Amino acid sequence: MDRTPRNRLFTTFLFVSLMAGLLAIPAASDAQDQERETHSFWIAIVSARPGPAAMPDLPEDAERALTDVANLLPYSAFELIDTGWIRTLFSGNTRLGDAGAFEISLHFEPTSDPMSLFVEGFRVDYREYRRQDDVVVRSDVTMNLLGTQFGIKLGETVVVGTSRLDGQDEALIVLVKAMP
Amino acid sequence: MNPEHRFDRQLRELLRAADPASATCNGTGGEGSRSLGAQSGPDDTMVSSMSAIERTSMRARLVSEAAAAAPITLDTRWGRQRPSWRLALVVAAMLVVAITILPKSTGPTTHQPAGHSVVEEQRVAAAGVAGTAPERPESRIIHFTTASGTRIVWNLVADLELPGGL
Repeated sequence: MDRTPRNRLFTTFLFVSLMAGLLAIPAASDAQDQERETHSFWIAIVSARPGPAAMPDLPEDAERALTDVANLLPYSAFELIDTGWIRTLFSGNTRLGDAGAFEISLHFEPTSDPMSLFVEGFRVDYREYRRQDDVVVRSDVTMNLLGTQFGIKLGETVVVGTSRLDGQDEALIVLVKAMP
Repeated sequence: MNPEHRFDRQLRELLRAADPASATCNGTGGEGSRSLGAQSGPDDTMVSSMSAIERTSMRARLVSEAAAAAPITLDTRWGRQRPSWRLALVVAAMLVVAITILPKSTGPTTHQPAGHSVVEEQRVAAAGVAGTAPERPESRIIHFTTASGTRIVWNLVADLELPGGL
């Protein structure tokens, strides 16, 4: 192989380009991960029915959200089932309710607005259970109660609810607050 | 072509150019002479006076003249390498694209979920309703924004079975 100066220059250029690419792509990926921030979500599961007004003991913004629900939808009696947290960089889940029967899973993405997030996947699944002496036995069958997606601002409480299409009395409400 | 044959042919042409009347080749002698004789036409006169030393000297002269006629072979070589430079440019362009564009295209800051952002930003009155595509065929997702700004995402599901005792 002829080792003229131009040939060596070409080889050096090609080598440096490839090395720069190999080094820069992981660095760009790291920078992308660093752009994500961990966020905490406060979650409360509430059952809702029509009837005499009942408001559980909740933080002020959650109570205000439920009051808005009562003013808009035919539900006025609310009962708190459980509350919990999901703190995650990308997606997470938690089990709430008696024996952890309600499984809440959440997957969010940042948006161009640093104060807003997009909850790309939000699911509430229920797994029946029974108590056998002092042991809780969960069923293998999981029931999906809710699956949706929504935008949320940091500090905002979003009401996510579900009920039957034919107007069954009961409804399940999940309050989701993205902590600032 | 046999190098010896090529030399003999060049030598004959050179002799003709210098002195057409004496352009000869010797049909006797070495292998090169025989081949030269075989290629010679019937008008060629035979020259037996060219010694081996003269032939060597003539060969050296031919080589030097050939080198003078085509002194730079780099042109041909670099001509073959031009595609490599183009390849280098393509590789460099691909690297630039990979470094600058690809991370941004998959990055979270540019994420714009399709089909929901408009609905999410749509502020409707307390009785207003904006529908979105349901996850289940027999369901409907409704986004409300109340007058006080509370956002409500309500799923109406036909086959919903809430657990007893809620």
